[in-house]
Amino acid sequence: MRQDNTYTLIFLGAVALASSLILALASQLLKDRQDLLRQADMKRNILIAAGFMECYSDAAEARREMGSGVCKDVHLYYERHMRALLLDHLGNAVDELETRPELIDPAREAEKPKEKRRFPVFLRIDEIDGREAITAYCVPIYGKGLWSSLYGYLALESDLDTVRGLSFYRQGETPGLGAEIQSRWFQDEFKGKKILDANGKLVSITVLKGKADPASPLAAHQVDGISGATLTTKGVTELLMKSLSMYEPYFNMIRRGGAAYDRR
Amino acid sequence: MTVDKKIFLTPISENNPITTQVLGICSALAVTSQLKPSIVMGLAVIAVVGFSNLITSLIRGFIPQKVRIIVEMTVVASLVIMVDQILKAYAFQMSKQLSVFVGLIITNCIVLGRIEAFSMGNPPVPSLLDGLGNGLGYAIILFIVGFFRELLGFGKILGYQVLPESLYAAGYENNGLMVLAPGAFIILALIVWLQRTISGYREE
Repeated sequence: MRQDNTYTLIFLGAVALASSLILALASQLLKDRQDLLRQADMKRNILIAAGFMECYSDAAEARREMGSGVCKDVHLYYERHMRALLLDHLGNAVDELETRPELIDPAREAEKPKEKRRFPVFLRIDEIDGREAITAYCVPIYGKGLWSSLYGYLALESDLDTVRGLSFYRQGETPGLGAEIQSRWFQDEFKGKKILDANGKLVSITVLKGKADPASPLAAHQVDGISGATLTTKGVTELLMKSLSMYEPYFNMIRRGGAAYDRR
Repeated sequence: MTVDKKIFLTPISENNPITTQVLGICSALAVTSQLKPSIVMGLAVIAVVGFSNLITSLIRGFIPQKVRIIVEMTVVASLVIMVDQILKAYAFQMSKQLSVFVGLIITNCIVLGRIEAFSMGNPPVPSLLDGLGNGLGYAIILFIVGFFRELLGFGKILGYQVLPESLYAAGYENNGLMVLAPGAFIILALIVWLQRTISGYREE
């Protein structure tokens, strides 16, 4: 067998070139489909946070939620029920047709200078008595867990105080421990909790170590922790506070009676 | 039995990569808490082992001895990335659930083990059969483990409730141990025990 160095180098170069060409081709061919599915996954999580539980991807789980509707096509469902808008760091709506609110990566926004950052909001629009009304405000939540970055959505009721739902769609925490933040029981705990104290100040929601005491005056701001996942849940507490405070200017404007979006 | 048939069939039963050669245990423990990810993982490994065996066998006459392993790993890694891309494009939820374990097929001892032990010294067709057989042998064990873990741990099969509500009303509870890795160990050990009792195989 040929063993000299020149042959070896040429052979390795050829193998590397061939495999990278094949992989580049595959990635190019599959990219559109992958993007579509990734977007569908984000939209699905926005819908779940906003209270459309029938959009759960688990077939058996979704069937149990039926009655409220059937979510066959996530994109269609999203177009029909949600309206997305883009805010700047002061909470003012901005018109940037080239930026899709669904595609904004909170990790990348955090690296930009303050004035350049954009914050997406997803409004759930329902028809009440023949009029369009906002029934939920959904915002992305993002931060660090123990091993990985956590990405999710949190939706508030129209009072901008009560939590409507929460969902994490990307995380890389320990399976069985930290990864439980993606489980249904943990996310359901947040429903009905309050993010404001009696004076209207943002206190967010704290994930406790152990069980929350329902008799405590802070019970409305606390949820049970996950045993064995103290650091992950600490990350969840921090990222909720951080993410929610970024939207406070916008929410305060609405609480004072401002319009959530331009109704043209 | 013809030689080709034997090459394909022995790794499924008496020379099974998991139960006899005790390879690929890590992923067998990690992804089998439910049946569906076990099936997808099994199929992914069948594809990777089969094609990596075929490709390395085709180019085996040209690979310089001293960089043998590097070339083999390049072939395996390319195939695994390909599988990962296809899963992301056609089974997004599944690829999210399997997360790193698809990428870790690269380090699955079965893949490199079969290339080194078989395809580097055999023609393409038997190599392909050997790869597919070993992949299938791995997959079948995953199916069995996944089936019992989901049944005992969740009372479900493929996400559908199979144990009746009346059983739970009578005091039955899902076995939480089955959801965790030790549950997979126990079932795996039972399969090994059963198989060795039937075949009479002994470690020397």
